[in-house]
Amino acid sequence: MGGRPPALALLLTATLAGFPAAADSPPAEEDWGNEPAPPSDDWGDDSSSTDDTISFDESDLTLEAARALSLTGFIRSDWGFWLERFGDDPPPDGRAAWSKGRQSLDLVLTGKQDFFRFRLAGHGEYDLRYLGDQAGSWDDFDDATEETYGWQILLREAFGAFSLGPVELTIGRQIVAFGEGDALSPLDVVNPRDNREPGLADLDDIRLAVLATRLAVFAGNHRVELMVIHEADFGLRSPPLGPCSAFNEVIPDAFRPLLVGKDVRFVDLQDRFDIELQQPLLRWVYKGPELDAGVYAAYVLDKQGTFAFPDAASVVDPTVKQLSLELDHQSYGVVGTSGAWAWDSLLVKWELGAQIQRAINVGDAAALPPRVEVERHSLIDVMVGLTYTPFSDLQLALEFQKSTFVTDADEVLFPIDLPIFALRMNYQLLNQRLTLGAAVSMFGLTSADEIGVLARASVDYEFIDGLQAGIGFIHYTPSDTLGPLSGLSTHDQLFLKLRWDFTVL
Amino acid sequence: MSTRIRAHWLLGSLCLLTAPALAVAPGETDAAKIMAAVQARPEGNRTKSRVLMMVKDSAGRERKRVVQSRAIDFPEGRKQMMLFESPADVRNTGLLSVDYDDGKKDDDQWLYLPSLRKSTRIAAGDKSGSFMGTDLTFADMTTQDPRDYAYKMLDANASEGGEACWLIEARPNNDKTATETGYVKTELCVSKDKLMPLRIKAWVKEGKKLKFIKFDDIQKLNGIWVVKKILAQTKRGDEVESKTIIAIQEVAFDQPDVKMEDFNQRRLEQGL
Repeated sequence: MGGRPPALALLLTATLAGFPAAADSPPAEEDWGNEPAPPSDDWGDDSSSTDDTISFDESDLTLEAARALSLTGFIRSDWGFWLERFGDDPPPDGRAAWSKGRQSLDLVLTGKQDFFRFRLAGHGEYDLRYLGDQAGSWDDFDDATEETYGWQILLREAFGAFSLGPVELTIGRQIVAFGEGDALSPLDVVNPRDNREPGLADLDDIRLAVLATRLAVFAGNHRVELMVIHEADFGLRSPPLGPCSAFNEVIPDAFRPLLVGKDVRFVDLQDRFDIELQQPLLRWVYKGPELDAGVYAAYVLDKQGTFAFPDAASVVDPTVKQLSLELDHQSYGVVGTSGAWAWDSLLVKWELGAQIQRAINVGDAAALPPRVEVERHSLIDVMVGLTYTPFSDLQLALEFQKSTFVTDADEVLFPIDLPIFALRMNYQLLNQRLTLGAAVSMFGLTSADEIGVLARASVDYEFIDGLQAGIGFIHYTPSDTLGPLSGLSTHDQLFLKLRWDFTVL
Repeated sequence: MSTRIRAHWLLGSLCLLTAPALAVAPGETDAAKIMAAVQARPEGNRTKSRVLMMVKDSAGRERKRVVQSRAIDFPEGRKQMMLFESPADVRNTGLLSVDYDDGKKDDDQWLYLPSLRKSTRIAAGDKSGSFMGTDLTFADMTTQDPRDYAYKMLDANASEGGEACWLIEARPNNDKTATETGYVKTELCVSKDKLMPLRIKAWVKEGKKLKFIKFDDIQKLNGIWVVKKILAQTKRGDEVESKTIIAIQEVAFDQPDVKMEDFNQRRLEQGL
């Protein structure tokens, strides 16, 4: 969600075809709202001339009976074009500037009967850009990238929930959001994410369901929930040599020629289903008068993981065609508290958490040979968010997050303690048909070398119920030193989307 | 006895505007006294309804929303939950409102967006925004404290569709209420017979627009007046920007399955 300054919004409003913007000027400031009440025959009821412009077919007011079973879905078409990626060396016919041609279908089946409800959701996608690369039309990406971005079939949520009085047991693949933050939430450690396109995917698309059992007890405004994740799923990410991989920045320059022609992949050390890798989580949540609050505790596998370079012999050996970059997702503890408090037009959100004995990479990846080690450290996380609604349908939200090492940590490879600012604006017009969005995230603050910026702007328009089109632009300024946006130095992108939501049942 | 105002049409209708509890003579000219009687009428409690909202813009493009609504009284006010049934892209979007009789106390509202799997508290300032693209706002669905308004009798002998009514002006008497609702003032045509609004005109501060609301197809069910159809339209100058028609169906009250323990995050997140 995002937005644009009101001036631009008003300009767009006025230029939209068919929209009667200020066809007749409203009364002057001093008179407006003070004119005498109109006579009753001029009120605008069915007999007035104003109703001639908009009329309803009263037969449409009949409702079908509500169904206990529902099948809905959406088809989505996403297209993207690199704007500067090949600026220094443009491809001969411009085809490689095409970054994305993803087509996807999502289906959701839900049902409810007495004490039982279920949800079954699936997602299928293919990307013409990467499938074309795979078919040999172009040769811009390695095999791992073509496979990761080429197509995916994902079982999303698939769970059954049983309710007995104040107790509810949910079993299956599920998505659960911890914490209060929207863009930044250090406590939101439950679900893996689709990180293939940093900053580009919508917030509501990036959480991936995970197999878990959840037992919740509800009492008034309180909820106590025990959850155990049974699956070691670390989400989707750009492969090491993929288009959005920070690993490209970690590779010592001397090694780059040696990787040409090799298939380089991330390999998770943990098995996806291992009885010994159960991840327990506990939360208490209160949502009552004026205040929301929550307390969380978890012992989870680190979704980012630590990596180790492949052995040098494999790298230099031209006969070795496949290199594995192992990711070790060690368990660590998370405890924290969150809250939200509304006051007039302001909504304040916060999270305070601790990462206990988390494994992180330290060392010097640029050294020859690279020196990358793993140490365990503890961090304190703080997130503060402020949402302000200056006037109707415009939302401004600023979130700030900072992690601080509690233990001495030198030569941390990935600066996970950088301060992060996330500013979002969302402005809706034309009875929410038109949405103007903007988001800016800034990583780092104190040193110019460490500052990275991601900026995104978009316009979405709903033509008819369920049919929506959008256009947007995303810009990346990665930091000079290794940071969250590393590897995204030439990734500015224009993106287009078309989405149709439908109901089958 | 409740002192909540039902000047805002959607909640008024969903809460099943009922027969008056306080008698007011047809010749009464004290606007505040009339509005107190309107507001003090007994309400249907433990209500359920299914509401169809159709929105049409000036180009004739139509949007439909179907909402399932439940409401229950509690000692400090009223709780209401709305779950969107259709269209598909908003299905299971839910709004839980806790409206307090005490106007000095901010209402609590949470919006559940199924795509985020999270119910988010909404700040009071959000309430003047459009509710799911209709001509209604979040504020239209919350109760208002009558102490936050100054009432004025505009016409003690007005009529609407041949029905005798009072034409009363309600103007927020503090900035907080004006900001929350987004209205500079409203005019209500209150039926002398039913003691309920038949139409409302509201001056919207943002964009200097006018909103017109008409209550139609009012039926007496089990001794209770029930509004079955509401027409709302937003005008800028003489142009109608958009119009919303609300058909309230499957109305039922005193439902045993509308329980206090269901007005919480659990039910909100469970959806339909």
